[in-house]
Amino acid sequence: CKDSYLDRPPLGSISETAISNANGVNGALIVAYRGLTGKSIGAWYTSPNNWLWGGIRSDDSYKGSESLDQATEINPVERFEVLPSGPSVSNKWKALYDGIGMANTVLRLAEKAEDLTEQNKARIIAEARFLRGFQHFEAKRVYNNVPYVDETIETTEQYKSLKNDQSIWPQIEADLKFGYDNLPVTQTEIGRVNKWAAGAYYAKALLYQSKFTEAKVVFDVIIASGVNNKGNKFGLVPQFKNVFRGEEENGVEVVFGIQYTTGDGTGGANSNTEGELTNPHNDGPGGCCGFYQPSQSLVNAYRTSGGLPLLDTYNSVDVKNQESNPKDFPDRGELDPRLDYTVGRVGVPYKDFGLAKETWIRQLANGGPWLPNKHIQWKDEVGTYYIAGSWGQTQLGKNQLLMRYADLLLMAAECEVEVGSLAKAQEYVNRIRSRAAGSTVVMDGGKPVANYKIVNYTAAWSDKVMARKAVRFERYIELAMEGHRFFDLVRWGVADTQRNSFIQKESKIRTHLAGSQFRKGKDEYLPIPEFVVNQSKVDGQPNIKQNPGY
Amino acid sequence: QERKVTGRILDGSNSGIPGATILVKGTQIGSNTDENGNYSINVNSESSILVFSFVGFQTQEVPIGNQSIVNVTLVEDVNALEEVIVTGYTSEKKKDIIGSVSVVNTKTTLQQPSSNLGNMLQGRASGVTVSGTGAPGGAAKVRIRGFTSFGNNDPLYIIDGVPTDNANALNPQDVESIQVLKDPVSASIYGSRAANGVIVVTTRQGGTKTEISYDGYYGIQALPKRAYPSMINTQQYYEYLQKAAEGAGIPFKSNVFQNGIPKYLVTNMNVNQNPGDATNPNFDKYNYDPYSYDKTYQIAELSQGTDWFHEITRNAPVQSHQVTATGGSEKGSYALGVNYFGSDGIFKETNFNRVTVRANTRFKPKKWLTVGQNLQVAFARSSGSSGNPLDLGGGLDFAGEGSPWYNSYRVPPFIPVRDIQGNFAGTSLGEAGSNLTSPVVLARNKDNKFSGLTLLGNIYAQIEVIKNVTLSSSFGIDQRFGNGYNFNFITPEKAEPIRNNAFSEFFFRGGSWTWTNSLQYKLEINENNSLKLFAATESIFDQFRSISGNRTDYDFNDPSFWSLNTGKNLPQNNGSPSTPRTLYSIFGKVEYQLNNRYLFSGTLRRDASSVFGPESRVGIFPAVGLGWRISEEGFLKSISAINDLKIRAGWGQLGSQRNVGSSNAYSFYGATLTGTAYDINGTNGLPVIGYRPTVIGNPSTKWEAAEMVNVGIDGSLWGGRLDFSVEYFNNTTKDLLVGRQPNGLEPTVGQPQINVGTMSNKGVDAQLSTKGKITKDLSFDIGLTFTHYVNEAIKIDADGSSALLFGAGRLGNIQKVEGGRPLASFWGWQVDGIFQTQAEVDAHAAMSYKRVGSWKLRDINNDGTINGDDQTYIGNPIPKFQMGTDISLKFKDFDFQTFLFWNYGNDLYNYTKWSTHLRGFVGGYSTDVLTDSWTPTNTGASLPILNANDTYSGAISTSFYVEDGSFLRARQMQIGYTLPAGLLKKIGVGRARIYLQGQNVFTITKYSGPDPDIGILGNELQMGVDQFRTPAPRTIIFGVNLGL
Repeated sequence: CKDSYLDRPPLGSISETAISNANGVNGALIVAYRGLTGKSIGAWYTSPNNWLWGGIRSDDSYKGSESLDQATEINPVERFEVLPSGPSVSNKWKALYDGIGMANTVLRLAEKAEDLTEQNKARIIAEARFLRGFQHFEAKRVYNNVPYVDETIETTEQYKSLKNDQSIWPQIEADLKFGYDNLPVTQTEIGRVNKWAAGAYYAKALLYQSKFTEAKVVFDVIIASGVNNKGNKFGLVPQFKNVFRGEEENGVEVVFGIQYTTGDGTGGANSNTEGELTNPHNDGPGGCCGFYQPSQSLVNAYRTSGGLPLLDTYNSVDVKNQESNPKDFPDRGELDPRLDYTVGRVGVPYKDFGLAKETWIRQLANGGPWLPNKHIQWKDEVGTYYIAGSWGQTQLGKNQLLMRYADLLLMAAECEVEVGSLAKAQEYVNRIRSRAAGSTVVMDGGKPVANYKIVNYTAAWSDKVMARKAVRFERYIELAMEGHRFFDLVRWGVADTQRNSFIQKESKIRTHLAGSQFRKGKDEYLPIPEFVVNQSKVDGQPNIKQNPGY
Repeated sequence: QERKVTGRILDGSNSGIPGATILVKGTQIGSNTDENGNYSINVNSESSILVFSFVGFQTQEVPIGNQSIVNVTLVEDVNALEEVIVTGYTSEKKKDIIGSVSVVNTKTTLQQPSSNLGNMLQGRASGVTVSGTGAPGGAAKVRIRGFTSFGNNDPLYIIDGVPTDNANALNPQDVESIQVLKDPVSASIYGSRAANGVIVVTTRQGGTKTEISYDGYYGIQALPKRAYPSMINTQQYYEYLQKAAEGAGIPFKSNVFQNGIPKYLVTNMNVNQNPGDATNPNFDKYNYDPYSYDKTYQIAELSQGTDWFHEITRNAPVQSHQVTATGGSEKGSYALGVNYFGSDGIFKETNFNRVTVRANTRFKPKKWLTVGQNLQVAFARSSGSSGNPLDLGGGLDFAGEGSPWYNSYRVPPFIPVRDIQGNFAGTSLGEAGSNLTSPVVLARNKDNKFSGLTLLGNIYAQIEVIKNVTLSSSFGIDQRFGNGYNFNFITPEKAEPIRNNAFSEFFFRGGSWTWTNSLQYKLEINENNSLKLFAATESIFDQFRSISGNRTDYDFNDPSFWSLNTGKNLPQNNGSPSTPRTLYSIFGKVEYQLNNRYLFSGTLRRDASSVFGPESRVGIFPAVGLGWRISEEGFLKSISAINDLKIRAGWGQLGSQRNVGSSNAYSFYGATLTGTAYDINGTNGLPVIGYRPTVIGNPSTKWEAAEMVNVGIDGSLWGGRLDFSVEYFNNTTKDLLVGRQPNGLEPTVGQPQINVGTMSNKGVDAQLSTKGKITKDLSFDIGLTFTHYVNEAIKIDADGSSALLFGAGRLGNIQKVEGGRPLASFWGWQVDGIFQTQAEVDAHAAMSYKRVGSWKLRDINNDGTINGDDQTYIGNPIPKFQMGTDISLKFKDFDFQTFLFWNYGNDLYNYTKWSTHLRGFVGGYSTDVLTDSWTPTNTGASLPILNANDTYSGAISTSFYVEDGSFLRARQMQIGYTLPAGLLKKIGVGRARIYLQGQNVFTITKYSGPDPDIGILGNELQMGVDQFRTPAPRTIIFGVNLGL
C-alpha cells in the first residue's frame, strides 16, 4: 500500500526517457530555436534584437521614454555605469546560456533517439550546432571573456570547472562552419536555418576576428549562390521602405531572422516582446512605450551634399526639429531619403499613419524629438502582424530580422577594403545606395517633404582610409536602429572616441547623459554577471574571472 | 423540622445555570438545578450549609440560617491551572504542560470583531507576529518565533483536528479556544509540518445547557487622516514643472502648461490637425466611444487638483450577524452556528461577503462510545476582483502596481475625475502619465467576481476499549471550490490605451483529506503519579485541479454578455493539475508525572512524504521535555504567595516540507503553447509546440530539520492574581531548503529545493496577566504579551559565498539575503546629506551625478569613486520586539476594554516614495517635492535639487527610502453595558449586552507611509517593503450580545 501511496510522479509533464525519440528531438529543436527569442527569461532586452545593447550604447539612439521608466535596467547601461549585479546584464546572459543549453539538449537527445533517420539526424545536429554557435557568438561580442559550453557538460562539477580564460572563437567558428558544411541549401520549414544563413554567420564570425581574406571567400560564395528557404536568390528588396514590411519578412533580403507570430490566442507568448517597449507612445502606432528614440547625431548623418554623405562634418549642423525650433520644422533641406524610413520626424508622414505627432513622444525633455521608425508596423498590417495587447502595448507578430542582405553586402565590402579590392567594395556600397536612391521619397501634399538627394560614389576609391570611412558610414545609415552599431564601433576599435564625442555633443540637449563616460578597455564589454562568478567558485576561488575594469 | 429551600443559581452574566449541583454539606442529600437554574432542596437544620457547585465554577458554601430562598451567583473558576488545554491530538491540564503553549484569551479576543483568525492573533499570544492590511476579508500574515525557512513560513492550523493552510475561511465566531504551539515539546507531535509552529483551534461544542444567542455588530470603516498622503495640486504641479526645468537648465516646455494653466483639456485630439485643441477644445467634436480610441475626443475641464485618494475611498460599512444554538444532554450535544459577515471595501466598488454554517454534534450512545462530527460550510463572494480573497495576497488585498492606491499616486492632479459629459476623464494627453485614473479602474472592475465554497470538518469516533484505553479515529476534509472571472475594458481615455477587451474565467477544486487513528492509555498510578501513552497513524492526501480560459474582442461590455463563448478572437484554455502530495505518519507520545512535581514528556514522529525521493522520504522527529513544579517542593510550599511555579525545558527536531514542490524529486520536460513554441513554419499563425526541460529534480532532497531548544518558567502568584510565563528559545534550521542556485552557465530550468542552508532564530517570549478587584464593583484584568527574536541567515548556499538580491517594483536590488545577516535586509547606497557648495562637490568621490544640491552618497570603501562596491546594508525589517497589552475593567454593569499593540525597532522600505518623492513616473507628487527639495535657501532639505533630467536619484536604492517602522497602535477600545437581569427576565431574555467599539483608534508612528503595519507582509525574503498595500481603516462598531 505504502509505496504506491507515496510515489507521485508529476502530472502534466514527461520524462526525458519518454522523449528520447524522433518526436522528442524535433520538439527540443523547436525550443532551441525559441532560444533565439530570449523569452524564457521574459525580459525586454534579451534577444539579438539588441535595441538596448547594440543601439542605445552606440551613437544611434537614446533610451527614450520617461527618465525613470526601466531606470534600473537601462539608465546605467546608457551611462556606462552597469554593475555586475545589474538585472539587465544578468538577463541577457541567462537568455544566451539558456539558448546554448537548449541546443545542447538537442544534441544529447539526437544521440539517444534510435528512430531518427541518418539524414534527419545530420540535419538536426547541424541546426543545433548553428544555434549553439550563434548564441556563443552573441555572448562573445557582448561579454567577451565567456566560456564555451558543449553537450558533454551536464553535472554541476562540470559546469563549475568551466573557465573563461581562453578565447572561444575557435569553437564558435567550428559550430558555424559545421552548419555551413552540413546544412541543406533550402529547408522545407521556412524558419529553419539553411546552409547560406549558417555560412553568413560563419563569415561574420571571421570578420569579427579581422580574418578578412577567409571571410571574403565565404561572402563571395553566398553572394554568388546564396538562396533563402524558398529557393530565391538573396538580393535587395527594390524599395528601401519595404525592407521591414510584413510580406518581406521571409523575402529575398532576409538572410536570417527570428520567427514571431501573434493571434494564436496566447496573448503575445510567441510575439516579439522587445518591440512592445520600442513603439511610439500614446496615440502613436503601438500605443506604448516610447523607448529607443533615434539620436540627433544619427539624424544628422542623413544630411547629404550633392547626394553624398558628409563623412567628416555631418554632425556640425543639426537637422531641425520641433524641440529646437517649434515654429519651423521639419527640416526640408538636402537629406538622404532613408532618413524618413529610419527615423520618425514630427510633422512628416509616418508610414501610412499620416503625419507623426508630438504626442507620440512620451517625454520630450528626456527622450528627445525623434521617433523610431524601421521596426514599427504599418497601419495596414493590423491583424496579421500586430494586435492590441492587454495593457495598452502592441503585440508584434512580425519577424525580427537578424541579418539582411544589405548587412551582408556591407560586411563583404569591409573585407574587400581590407584585402585591397576597393572597387569591389565601392560596387557593393553603390548597390545599396542605388536601391536607396530608387526608393519612393516621403510625400506630403503631393510634394516631397525634403530635398531628398542620394547618389552613388562615382569617383573610384583610391584610398583605403577613405574607402573604409565610406563603407563604415554607409553601414551606419543603412543599418541604423537595427541593433548593430555598438558592436561595429567596438569591432572597429573606435567605440571610445565615437561614444565620448557623442556624449559631449548630445549631453547639451539630452542632459541625462551629462557626466557619463566611455572608458576604453572596459566599456566595450558588459561585466560578467555577479551570480556567474559566484557560482563558479571551487574552494572559494572563482573559475570565471570578472572582466577588466569591473 | 425539614423544610424546603428554593432559589436560583446564576452565572456571571445572570443566566441560570442548569444542571448545577446542590449538596447539603456532610450529607448525601442533594439536588440539581433545572434548565433555568432553579432548584429546590429539603434541609433539616438551620445550621446546615449548602454547597453549590458546577464544572468550571468555584464551589460556594452558604449557611442557610433561616432563609428559605437562597440565590447564588457562582464565580467562574479562576484557578486556570486546572484548565484543560487542547494541545493537538491530546489535551492536558495547564499545570502539567511543559511545552510552550500560548493560550489565546478568546473571550477578550472575540470581543474584537475580526473577519478571520489571523487578524485575531495580533499581539494576543507571545511569540506570534502578525501583519495585516485593510482589505475587506483580507487575511493577515502570521509568523511564530521568526522564520524557519526561506519560503512559506505559515504555521500549521489544526481546526478540530483537521490540518489546513486556509484558516481564513474559518468563521472566528465559532471559535471556542486557540492554542499556539511554539516549541518542540508541544509541536513536534506534528512532525514535519510543525517547524513554523502550530495553531490549534477548537470550535464551539454543545454542553448540557440549551442556549440560543445572537451576536451582531454593525460598523463603519474609514481611513484615518494620517493614511492620506499630502499631494500637490495643479498650481503646485505647474510650479514643480517650471522648477524642474530650471534645475535642469532647459527651457520650460509642456503640452499642457505652455501658456499657463488652461481651462480645458482634450484627450485624444489630433494635435497636428488641430494644434490648438489640446487646451482649447472644439466642443462640437466631443465624443466618447468606449470601443474606439480613434473615435474618442474627450473634453474635460481642468481640475484645480484632484484628490485621487479621497475619490476612491469611502466610509465602508462592515457587519456580522451570528446566531448560535448549543445544547444537549449527557447522551448527545450539538452546536449550530450561522454567520453572515459582510464588508464593503475602503476602496469604492469592492466588497466581500461570507456566509458560514457550522454544525458540530457529538453523541455518546454507550458509555464506551463517542461519535461526532464537526463541519463548517463557508460560502464567500467578493466583487471588484476575481482573485480568491481567502488566500493571502489574493482577491481584494491589492498590492503593487495593480493597487488602486498606487494608481492614485500615478495620476497627476490636473486631470478631473469626469469630463464635461460625466464620463470618466483620462490621461492620454502628453505629460499626463500613463495610467488610468483609479476611480475608473474601480468602476470597471466592480463586476469582476470571485465566489468560493469551502468545506472543513471531520467525523470521528472514540471507543473506550477497556478502562483507560481509548481508540479514536477521525477522518477530516479541507475541500475548496472556486470560480472567478474578470473583464478587461478598452480604455480610450488612457495613454498606452488598451485597444481590445478581454474576458477570463477560472475554476478550481481541490484540497486535502486527513485520516487519523490513535490509541491512548491513561494510568493514574496514584494521586501524584500518572502515566499517559499515546500512539497514532495518520494519512494525508492533497491535490488541486484548475482550468482557466480567456478570450479577446467582445462587441459588448455588458456583464451579461461576458462568457468564454461570446468573444471573437481565438480562445486560450489552460489547465493545471497539481501533483498530489501525500504523507503517511506514525507517531507517539509518552508523558509521566512523578510526585506531582517532576514532569516528563517524549514524542517521536516518523513521517514519509511523497515530495521526497524514495531514499530520503522518511523523516524522524523526536522531542523531549522536562518540567519541575518547583512550587510543590517543601521549601516553597510554605510560601503562600506562590500558587504555582514551574520550570521547564525542551529539545526537539521539527521538520518542514512546505516549501518543497510536490514533484521536487523528478526531472521532466514540459510543453506549452505559451512557453515552448516557435513559429518554425513562418506562418504567422499557430506556432509549433516543442519540449524543453522544465524542472531539474533532486531525488536526494531530504527533510529540513529545525532543531529547537526552549526553556521557560511559569508562575501563578497571589491566588492567581498574577500569572506569568517567560521563555527563551533558540531555533536553528539545518539542511534548510534553498532553491538550488544554478550555475551561471546552465540553462534556465526550474530548480529543485536542496538542503544547504542554515538559519537561526533566538529570542524571548513573555506573557503576563494580572487581575483583581480595586473596589467591590471595580475589577480589572490586564494581560501583556512580549515577543522578541533575532533572525540570522547563517548560510544560504552550498559555498556559503553568494547572496540573493531582490528588487521591488521598479527598483533593482533593494534587498539582500546573505549569510550572517537577518533575512531580507535592505541594501543600497547611504545618503550622507546634500552637497551644499561646489567645494564640497569637488572634494567628494566621483559620482555619476553630482552637483550642488544633489545627494552625497557615502564612499564606503574610500576609493574615491561611488560605484557598486559602495552599496551597503541600510536597514533591517525585523522588529526588535512586539508587545500587546490588553486591559479590561469592569464596573458594575459596565465593561471597558482596550488593546494596545506596540511594534518597535524595525525598518520599513517606503517604496511609495519612489512614486511621490523621486517622481518615478509622470504623475502625482508629494508636496514635499516643493517644500523639501534642496534650494540655495532650503539647505536642510532631504530631497535633491529639482532637475527634470535627474535620472539618477530615482534610479538607485538609497537610505532615503528606509524609515523607522515602529508604531504603537490602539487596535481596539471598547465600552460595553450589560443590561440588568431583572429587567431582562421580564422580557424573557437571559442576558443582553451592548457595546461600542473603535478599532485602530490611534497610531503613533514616525513612519511617513500610509500604514506602518506591513512589517512581515510579502515574500519572506522580500518583506518589509511598502508597495501600496491597502491601509488599515479605523472602524467604529456598535454591537449587541443577546442570550435567550
